[in-house]
Amino acid sequence: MGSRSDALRAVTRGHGVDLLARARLLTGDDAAAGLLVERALAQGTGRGHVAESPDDATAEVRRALHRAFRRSKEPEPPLVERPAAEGADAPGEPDLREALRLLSRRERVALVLRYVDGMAATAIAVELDVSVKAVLADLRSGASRLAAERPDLHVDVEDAVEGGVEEELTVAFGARR
Amino acid sequence: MSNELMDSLARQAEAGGTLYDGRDMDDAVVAPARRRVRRAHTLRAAGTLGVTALVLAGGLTAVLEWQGGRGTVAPAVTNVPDVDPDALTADDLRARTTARTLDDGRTGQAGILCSMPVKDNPYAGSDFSRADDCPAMWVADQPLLEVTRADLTLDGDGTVHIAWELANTSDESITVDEGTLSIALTSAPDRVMDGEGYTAGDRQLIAPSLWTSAEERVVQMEGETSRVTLRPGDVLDGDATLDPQMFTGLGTEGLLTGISEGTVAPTVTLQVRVPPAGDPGTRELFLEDSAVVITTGTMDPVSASFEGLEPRLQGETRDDAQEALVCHVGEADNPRFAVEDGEDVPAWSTPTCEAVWIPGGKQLELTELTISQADEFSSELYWNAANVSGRELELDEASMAASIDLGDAGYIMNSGGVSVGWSPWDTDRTRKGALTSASSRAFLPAGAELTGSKTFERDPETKGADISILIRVVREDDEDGTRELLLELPWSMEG
Repeated sequence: MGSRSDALRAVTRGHGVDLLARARLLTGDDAAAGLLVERALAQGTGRGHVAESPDDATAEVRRALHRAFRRSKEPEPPLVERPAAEGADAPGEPDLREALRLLSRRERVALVLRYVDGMAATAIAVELDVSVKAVLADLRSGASRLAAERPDLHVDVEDAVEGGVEEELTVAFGARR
Repeated sequence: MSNELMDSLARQAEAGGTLYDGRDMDDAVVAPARRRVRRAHTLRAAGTLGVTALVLAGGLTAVLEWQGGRGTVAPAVTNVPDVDPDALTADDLRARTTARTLDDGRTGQAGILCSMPVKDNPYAGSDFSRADDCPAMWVADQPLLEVTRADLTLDGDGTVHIAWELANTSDESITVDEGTLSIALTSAPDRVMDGEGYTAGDRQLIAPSLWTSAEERVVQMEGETSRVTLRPGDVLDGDATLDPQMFTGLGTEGLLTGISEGTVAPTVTLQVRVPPAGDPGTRELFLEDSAVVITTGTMDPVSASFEGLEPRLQGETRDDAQEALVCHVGEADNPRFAVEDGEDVPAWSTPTCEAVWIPGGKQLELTELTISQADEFSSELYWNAANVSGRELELDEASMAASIDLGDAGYIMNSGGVSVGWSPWDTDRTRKGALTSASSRAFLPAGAELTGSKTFERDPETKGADISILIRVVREDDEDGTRELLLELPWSMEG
C-alpha cells in the first residue's frame, strides 16, 4: 500500500460499515460513533508505519478504535430513543444500550471483543495493548454487572473470563455499499 | 457461553451498520479523518517515519521505502481539467516507442514502459502500489511534456519543499493520470546507480540516479487514478515536501548537506502515467522529464552536541567512544514537540536514525539487564546503567526505550517504548531509534546509576536476543527539535 491516503480509502471502502456499527455498539450514539470512527481512521492510518495491505490497515484502524474508546474520558451523551423499526432490540426486550451504559468503557470494550469477536482475554489484551490481568478484571466485573442487570441474557461470568479463542477473529457487520 | 448476549450484541451492531447508508460517510467521517492525518504530519510527530527495506524483484538495487506521510506531490491542473476522448493515450504513444539507453545521445520525449501481469498492475485493481525498474523508452522525437519550473526551498530544519510545473509543450492533446504523478530528486542523474539504492514512498523518491542499468529506470506506481487531458499549453503544477528524515535513507548520502552548502545541484524528475484508452492491462507507460532545480535556503547551524560525531557501522565496537544515534526528524515529526492530544498517554515514534560514535570514551554503560517473567503472558525487562563518563550527564529519563532484536523474527511489535522483533538496523549505518512525547530531564552525577524497566509480551526468543537501551541526551539547545541525540547501550543476552 503506497500511502496513508490509500490506506484510509481502502479501509473506508471495505470496512466503513463494520467500523461504524462497531462504534455505535460501543458508544450507543450515532454522533459519538461517527467521531470515534473518524478518530480511529486518523490514528490507524495516520500513525506509525503505513500498512502494507488493506487488511493490515483495517486491523490497525479497528485496533485504534477499540483503544481510543477504552481511553476516552469524555462524558457520554444521553441515549436517544431509537425507532423500533431499526430492529436493534428484539420485540419486548429492553434497550441493551441502557445496560451497556452501566458498564465502564473498559468493561464494555472487553465484553464486545469477547462476545462479538469471540476473543479470549489474551487476544483482547493484545488488541487493546493492556495487560491480560486488566482484561480479566474488566471481563469479570463487566460480565457480573451485566448478569445482574439483565438476567435474561444469561451471562456466564466464568465463561466471559475464561472463554474465547486466543487468535484474533475478524467479525464484520452489515453490507458494503 | 451466553448466546442471548451474543445475539443481542449482534442485533445492535447490525442496526448500527445501516447508519452507513443513511449518512455521507465521506463528508462526515472520512474527510475529517484525512484532515487529522494531514494535520498530524504537519504539526506533530504522531507517526513514525518508518523505513522498510525492500528488494526490487529481479533487481540488484536495494531500496528503502519511506513511509512517513508529510510530503505530498499535490498536483493541480491550472486549466481544462477534463478528459478529451480524442487526446493521445498510451495506446497511441506505445506504437511510437523505441528503446532508450543512458548514453544514446538522443533527445525527445522520454518514457518508461513497464510490463506486468494484470493481477500485479496497481492501476488494474491490485491493492499494492510498487516501485519498479522498467525499460526506458523514447516516446517521440520532440518533447510532449516538459518540466517548466523546479524550485527547491530548504528550511532551516532540513525540510525540503519543491515547487514544480509540467507543461504540454507539444501541439497535441494528451491524457495523463495526474493522480499518479511522482517526483524524484537525484544527485547524479546521468549515471547508473552503483548499488547505493534509493529511498521512496508516497510518490516521492530520492536517489543518486533513476538509472538502475543503462537500459532501465526506476518508476513509482502509486496514487489514485485521476485522468486529465493536457491540451497544448496546459500546465500541471504542484509542490512536494520532503521531510529531513527521508534524507537518512539509502541513496541520499550527502545530498541534504550538499544542497545546503551549494555543492550539489540536484535534478527533479517528474514521472506521470499515460493511461490506455481502455482498461489497464499488462503494460503501463510513463512519460518523464527532468530539470536541474533552483535552490534557495540553507540549514540552520547544527548544535554543538552533534559536532565531532563519527559514523558507526552495525557490529562495530570501540572502547574509546560511546554508541549513539542522531535522529534528524525535523521538529514537525518530533513527538517531544507534538501538540497535546489530551490523551495523557505518551506518544512514541520509531524514526530511522544515523548510527554514530561520540568520541571520548564511554559515557553510560549497562551494568545489569535481566528479563523476568511478569505473568503468564508478559515479561519484564529491567536494566541498570552507570555513568562512567567521569562527569555529570544530563539525560531525559522519560525517553528511555528498549529495542529487543530477534533478528529475522517475522514481526515487529512497538509498544510504549519497547520494540520487539525484527532487527532495528535498516542499513549498516542506520537503525530505528525511539522518540517520545514525554520528557523528564535529570542530572546523573559521575558514577551514579540509572535504572529502568519495560513490560512486553513474552517471546522465548528473547533469551538469545541483542538488546539495546536508548536514552535521549538533554542538550543546551533542547528547545530545538530538529535533531535528537540518543545514547545507545548495547547488551547481548548470550553474554
